[in-house]
Amino acid sequence: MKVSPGLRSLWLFKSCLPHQMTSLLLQTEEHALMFGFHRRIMAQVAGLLVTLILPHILSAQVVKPPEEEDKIVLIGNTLAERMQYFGDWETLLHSRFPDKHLVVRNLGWSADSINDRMRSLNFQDHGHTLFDHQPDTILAFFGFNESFAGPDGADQFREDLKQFISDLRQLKYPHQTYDRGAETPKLYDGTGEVEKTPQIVLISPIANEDLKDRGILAGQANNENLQLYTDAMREVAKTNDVPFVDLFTPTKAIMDRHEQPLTFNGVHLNEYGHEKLAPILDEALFGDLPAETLSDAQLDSLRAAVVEKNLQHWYDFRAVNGYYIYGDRKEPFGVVNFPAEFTKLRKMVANRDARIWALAAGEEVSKVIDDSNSGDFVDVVTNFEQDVHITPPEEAIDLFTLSDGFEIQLVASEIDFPDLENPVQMAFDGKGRLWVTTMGAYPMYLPGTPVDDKVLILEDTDRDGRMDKETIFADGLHVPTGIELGDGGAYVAQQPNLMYLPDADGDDHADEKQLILHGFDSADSHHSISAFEWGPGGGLYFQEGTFHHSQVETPYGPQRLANAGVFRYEPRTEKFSVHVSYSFANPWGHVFDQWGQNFVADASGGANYFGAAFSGDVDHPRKHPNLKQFLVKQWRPTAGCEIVSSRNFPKEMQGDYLLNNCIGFQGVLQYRVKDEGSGFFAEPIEPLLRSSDPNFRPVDLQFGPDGALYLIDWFNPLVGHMQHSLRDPKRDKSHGRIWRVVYTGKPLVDPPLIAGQALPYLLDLLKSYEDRTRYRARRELREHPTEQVVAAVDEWLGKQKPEDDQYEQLLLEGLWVKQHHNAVDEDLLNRLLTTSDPRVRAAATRVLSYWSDQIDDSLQLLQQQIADEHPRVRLEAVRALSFYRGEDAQAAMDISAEAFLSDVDDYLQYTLDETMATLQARVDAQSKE
Amino acid sequence: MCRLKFFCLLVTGFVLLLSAGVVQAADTPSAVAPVMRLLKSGRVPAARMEAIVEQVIRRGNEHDLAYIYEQASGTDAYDPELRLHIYNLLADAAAERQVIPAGDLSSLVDVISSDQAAASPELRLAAIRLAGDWRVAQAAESLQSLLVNPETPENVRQAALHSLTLIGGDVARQAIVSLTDATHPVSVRSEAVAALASLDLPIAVEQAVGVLNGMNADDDPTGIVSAFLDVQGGSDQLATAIEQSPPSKEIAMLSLRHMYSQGRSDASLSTVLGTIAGIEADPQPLSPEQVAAKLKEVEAHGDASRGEAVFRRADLSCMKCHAVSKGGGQVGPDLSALGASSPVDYIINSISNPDQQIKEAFVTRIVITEQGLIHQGIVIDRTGERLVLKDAKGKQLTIPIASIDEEVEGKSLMPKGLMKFMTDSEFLDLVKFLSMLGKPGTEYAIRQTPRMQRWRVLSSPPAELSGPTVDESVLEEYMASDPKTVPAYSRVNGDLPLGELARDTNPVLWLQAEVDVSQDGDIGISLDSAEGVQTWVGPRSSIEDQITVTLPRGSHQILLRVDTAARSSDVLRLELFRVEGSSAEFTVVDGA
Repeated sequence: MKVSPGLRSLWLFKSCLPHQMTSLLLQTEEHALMFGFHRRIMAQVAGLLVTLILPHILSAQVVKPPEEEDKIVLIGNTLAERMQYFGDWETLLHSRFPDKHLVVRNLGWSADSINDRMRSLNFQDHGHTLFDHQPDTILAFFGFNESFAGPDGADQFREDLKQFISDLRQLKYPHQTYDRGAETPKLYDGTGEVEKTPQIVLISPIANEDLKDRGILAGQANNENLQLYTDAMREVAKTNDVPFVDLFTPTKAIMDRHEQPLTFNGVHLNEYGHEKLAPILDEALFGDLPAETLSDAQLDSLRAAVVEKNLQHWYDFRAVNGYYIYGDRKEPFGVVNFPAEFTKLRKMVANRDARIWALAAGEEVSKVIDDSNSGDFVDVVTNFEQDVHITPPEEAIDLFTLSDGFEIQLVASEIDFPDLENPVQMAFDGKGRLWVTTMGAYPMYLPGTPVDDKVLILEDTDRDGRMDKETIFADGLHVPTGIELGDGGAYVAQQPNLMYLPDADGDDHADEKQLILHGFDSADSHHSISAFEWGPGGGLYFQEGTFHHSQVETPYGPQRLANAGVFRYEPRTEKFSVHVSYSFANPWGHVFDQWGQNFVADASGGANYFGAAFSGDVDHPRKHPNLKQFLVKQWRPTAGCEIVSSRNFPKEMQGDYLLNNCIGFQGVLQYRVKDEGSGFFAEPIEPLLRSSDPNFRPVDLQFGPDGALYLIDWFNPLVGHMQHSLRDPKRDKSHGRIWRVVYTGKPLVDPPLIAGQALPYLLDLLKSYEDRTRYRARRELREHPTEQVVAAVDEWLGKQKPEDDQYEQLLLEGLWVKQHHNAVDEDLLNRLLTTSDPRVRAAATRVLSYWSDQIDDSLQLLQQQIADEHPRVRLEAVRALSFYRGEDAQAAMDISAEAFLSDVDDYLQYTLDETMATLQARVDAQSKE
Repeated sequence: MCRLKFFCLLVTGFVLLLSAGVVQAADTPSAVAPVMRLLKSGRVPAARMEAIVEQVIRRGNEHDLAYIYEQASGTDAYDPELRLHIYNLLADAAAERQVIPAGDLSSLVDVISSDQAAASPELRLAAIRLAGDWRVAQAAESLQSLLVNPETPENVRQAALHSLTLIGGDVARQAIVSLTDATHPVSVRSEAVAALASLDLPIAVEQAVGVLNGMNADDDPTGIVSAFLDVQGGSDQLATAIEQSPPSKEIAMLSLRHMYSQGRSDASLSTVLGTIAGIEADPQPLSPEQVAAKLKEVEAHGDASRGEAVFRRADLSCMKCHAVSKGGGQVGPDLSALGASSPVDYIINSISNPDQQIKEAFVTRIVITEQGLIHQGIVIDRTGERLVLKDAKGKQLTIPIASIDEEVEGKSLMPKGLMKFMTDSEFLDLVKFLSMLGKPGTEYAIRQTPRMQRWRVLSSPPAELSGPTVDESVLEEYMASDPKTVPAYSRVNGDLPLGELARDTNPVLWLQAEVDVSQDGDIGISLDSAEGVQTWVGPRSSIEDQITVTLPRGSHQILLRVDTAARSSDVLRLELFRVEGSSAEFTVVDGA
């Protein structure tokens, strides 16, 4: 039973991409749901609207109608980027000009602005610069990200836009790449002749809207600036003789009617929004909508064909291993196989263009797309010289060596569950079931073979310790490196995007696939967003590795990160930030302890870090400098970390830090963690286990509801992104194991009931011993209606006895539950900031850092915390001060100096230096203005 | 590079912002203004003074530093210890951030010759160092007199030489040139030539030829070679000069090896040295066909055990950079699991062409500073202010971003052309060995037990400790003197080859092994055989194969006296084990 089914899907309704990622070659008519009918009505309504306000929308310059075989290229931000998934406008375009055989390429990229466009190394060599495309018409969607510079930035914007237009006419559209560690980008662009001067159409941002139930006030916050920047674009367009389309005014008009949200996050259109937008844009560009010549069914097919073409183009444009295709690691392997792959893929895209033209002309097309003309792959010869021996599970289990008193048990394998191909990350739901992503498509899509990575739900119905039931929650996914559950569904990496898979009806099958964050880079699929983990207060964290240049649009402005870091995402408020900007190689592991202190593991070099010290704010492109490791490093590389918190495990191991090693040592390393001043220090102790099976690749580990430690075994004889061809035929794609480690000296833990439980029961679960039980209870609590949760927390806390040892911890749990709901409780916060347990004071200071925008005297509170007697509280205060901007930056800077009135140890000194550097740069930037 | 105006504006603005903290502009904003206010407010308790002063010097501008320098020099505001600390921090600020106190700094000359400096050699050294870092021209004469005075202690003389080099000018040049003449020992002449390389390259080249040609086979040319490698154009000019007037074959060989061990293979110099030393020119990287052929040969003829001996050879310097089983250098990647993760062709390519595939953490930068100095290394850290490089010796160097004139992506620090130091069969053996590393079930598998891999060999124990019996009091006193050691590494299987370590004249070796204990308890120490071995843990000694010791938390040394003449085995192996019922947690200490 679900108390609040699919909460997130209520937030995001109608933003689905029903067949975008699943439908590939076998696109069929019945996939296209009611598109035509719906579309026609909407188009007529919108057409009326457009006619009424047309003079506003299109400036004096008229768009030249396309000629035969013209190429239309879309550039700009997420507004443009998301259009490819829905296909509405393109469908209208082709049905308006059925005989023109237009080629449309969407080069939209999250958070692209007229000045900032980051790409990974040598992207210009991949074939998608404007010189490569030689467009006849460029539709340029800008102004949204730029508008966050506010009124003060408008003049500069006008100047820059003028230059931008003149550059575009010469097909100059360069991007920035940062060398690892560099804070100054290098500029790259394609080269070539301008074969024809393109027609440029400037297109304004859409209006933003408030989604008040989630605390998103994007309309209130952004519309004034969006109007300002729209006006600036109109003005510059006029003086530079380019056509201009105002999307702000008509979308604002629809939003003002408050009928139905057009966006899923206040700023990006949902499916309904795209339906509304298409006729507005179409008519603004080309005049009154013509009489429709195609039937609804034909329009549906046409849209499906557009989406399919866009998908194949996306696999090309955003190929997820750019560093190995065109970047610094294309030698020696990538140059062998990729040229033929992309020749084939581009031919496939061309085949789909032709299919679109046929459908637009009302012709019949075959259901199966014939790509036999697209060329062949190059045979890749393996350089893995050993024989591959697939160790059967019963043999593999004997190859483990475990610490005294421990036993390892097979929980699931590909033999019972053939879908368990290369499992990567797991999560346990409130029913105690194990969810796991599989990654048979790794390292990336092979042109012509539809991707089919999955989210599986594995269940042990007879409670014998072995899984006996599999449900496919979702399939057709592309290299899902991470998963976490929540909000009535699952958050999954769908490279290179973040996808949300709601299950509102609770039938254990994803209702739809919603892309909710865009712009993560695609340089290296094993550096992509991974290690998904909830923070105690409702931030969803994930990490990416070096080479990547990510830029993500949010209702609060674009966020950029080059060359590795940890992200923090609040799904409710759509706040998204870089939690740690650091020159990791490839972080893959993140865990929070009982008191909310987090630890980050860097896989490649095997380094491990104390999170508070380097999670203060920095402004891109600055990154935090080298931080000392909190533990004595042993064997690299690693994948996943976890803290021991289980009554099944021996007493002396509680609180130990566990770390998977997946090459060489191949086991679980163990470290004893001790407090050390403001931070921690951990020393190696006897490893928990290791295997002599060369195929054993532990890549995730987590305590299950039964208190046993679960291990995900990616199971692969051949690893290494750099040492072998990405297409090495010996890369295993069909095996996978899940193990659990049990201490035989103590009983397992009774798995708690979480799913469907009433609030008082769930709150009582926060008294549980196991960190993971409290983690999953909090996750369940976030799905209940906020008002009820807040009331229940207050009542529950009122019942707790101050004399109990656990009392302060429970108050903190209550605060975190409220933080999940963004329900600011200043009284409780103030109380915990000065409570007796320094671990709680430190945690409360962390909460304060995320609520500072909603609390009036937060700086005064931090001045109090910076004089705390415990160094970790002072460190949290110093960290929190880094988030202040504008007029508060100087005050925060002054307060941070007061840290020197107490002892300053290494970690505190590091955090202090970093906070001061961030604030100083902001103060200096202001004084220059 | 700025092809577009928008970008220029953007980047220029950004660069200005970044450099704001490092250039010596009169209006550089203070990054520590709130700290300075705190310092001057009188709210700072004495115990916190040091931390605050540190912060000001580490981040403050030239005026902040001037305030601290004045306070430290002019008055008795700070105690002598803090004053010394301040001088050292000021030197760091100059070297790493290029920030020096505003105003007239000639008072430093007085400090060098002050009573306080006379009383505190450290203070005098710090002041000498500052004179160079601050380029205090007025100090040149007193430094020159220190330099040429035979009474001057060695460390002071070296500091004076270094500072004079930085100050430059005629006084400095003449003083240094005077040290290159043949009346001085070769070591002094070499230092002087090295100093001249950055001061006056033509004179340095001229003098270098003289000094190198006067060297015997056991003299050390590496200081001179390094100095020329570190200066822009230095290696080319040196190459031209020694081509005309070559040093001995041995000196050329030592110089060439040194170049390679620095990760440098500058074409002209390596060619000239190679010709003199009788080594052929750099071979071309192997073609794919050659790699395929080698691969087959490795399968057929490669011998891992012989290959390990090649890997351990001093002239190839492999272990200076790479660790195996965690014993060895920490510059390049640890190779413990190389064979388990990397195919043979990948290994062949990595040796023949180290630049082809570089793991992201090992990409290097080559930096040329405004002073014309060249630095190459792996980027350890980079901020807007400073770049930290780790060079091929594992040494970290902090370079102010503002002093960087040119910066390019370097290649691998691993020398190219290593293959020319090996015969064909040695190469096949080496590849075979590397391809076995980390293979489970072989003796090249990742270490399974807490086994000693990294040792320290006492380099010059006193004669009393080399005899047949050990005088414990001499031993105690000697060990308390922090004796000099050199590292030694066990083979992958844990065997320490004693033959490689034994000195000609004396069969007795003194070895140290280190263990870190994180939780107190009983720990077992096991030797393959105690024959000829006496083992000390703390004051207690043993001649047994196995001993149990109770060790408290912390780091501990195990000391072994090994009489190789009394031992039938020529290897030694030491393992630690957990004693039944013990709660001890411990790890052996590895590394370089």
